[in-house]
Amino acid sequence: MKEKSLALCFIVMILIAGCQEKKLKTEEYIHWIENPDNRFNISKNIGDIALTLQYKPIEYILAKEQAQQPMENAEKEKRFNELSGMQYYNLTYSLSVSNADILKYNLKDASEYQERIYYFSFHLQESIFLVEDKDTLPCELFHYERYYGLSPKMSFSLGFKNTGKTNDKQIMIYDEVYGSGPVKFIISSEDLQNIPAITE
Amino acid sequence: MKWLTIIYGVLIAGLAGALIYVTSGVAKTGFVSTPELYNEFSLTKELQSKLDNVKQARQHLLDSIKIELQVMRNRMQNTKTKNDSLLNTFETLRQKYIIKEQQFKEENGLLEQEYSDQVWKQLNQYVNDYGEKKGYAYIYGASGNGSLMHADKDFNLTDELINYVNERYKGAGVK
Repeated sequence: MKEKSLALCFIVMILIAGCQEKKLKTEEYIHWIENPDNRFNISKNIGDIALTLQYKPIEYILAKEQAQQPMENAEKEKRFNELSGMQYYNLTYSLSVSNADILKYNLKDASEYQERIYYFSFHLQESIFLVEDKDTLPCELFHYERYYGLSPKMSFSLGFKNTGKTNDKQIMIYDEVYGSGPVKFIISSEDLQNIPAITE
Repeated sequence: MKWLTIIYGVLIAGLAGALIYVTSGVAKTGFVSTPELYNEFSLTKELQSKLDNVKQARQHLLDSIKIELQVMRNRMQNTKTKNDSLLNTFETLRQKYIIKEQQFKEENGLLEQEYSDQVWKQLNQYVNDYGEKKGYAYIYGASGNGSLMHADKDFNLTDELINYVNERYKGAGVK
């Protein structure tokens, strides 16, 4: 009887330990979110083009900002509230086969380079959607980080309305420049529920 | 008894060595039915439905011009006196119909080609990723045109690849 109770206690302890939220220090948390193994940083190669999507929880954005400029708790809370109406992602385009400038990849002529810059600056936003449950959300915040030839990559900050739903998040990009067709990324609800917390 | 153990040990080690020797020189291969893979790929289905919608919308436009032409023809047939203005309008519309029909035919062909290229671009990538992950040296495409005349069905990867490419297309990372 005593052995049975001990075994039961042991199982309950294991279950409690298993259910406890994982906690990480700020720097570890940033690395964890950026680690492709945790499926919040997903890469997809289509032919020579590599697309990478980074999901950025608000805690992650705050942690990155905090690392650059420490904030007081009140300031942090204010910033959290500012950010909380949206959900944020980063999209990167690069070449999987070389370190050449992706904007210049397979250019037909010089005017096409300008056309691409124009498209990525003003029209890519219309080709990006987030599917959650049965909703298809447009990309409401869009920022093209121009590198002016200093980096072979292209980076975009994306923001969608935060619906508060806990379903899978599927990002769809209809690429009209590199001929890849629709490219999709999925972030599973299961993974979203297992994001660790940050220890103070 | 001790000798027997040693003999068994040597025999097992020999067999294992022979097996490693035989398999190490053989490249892992498989084949896939390319028409089946292409048709069962979610992107193919999505783009096919998109193409059908575009074609249908264009056909509706052509049909409406056709009906208009038919109405005009009936009016001309029912009018006893010759109406030059109606005849001119009819001829202009008929020309418009011919030009549009030709234009839509060309554009449908181009769109079909563009979609097919997009499908193959993604399929090639995902099959390549699958091959790398599973350690295949070769994955042959059986398209029924004589490129692969015979393959043992044990090496058929079609069903597994259909699942894999559709998962990848849906957004899953390289698994």
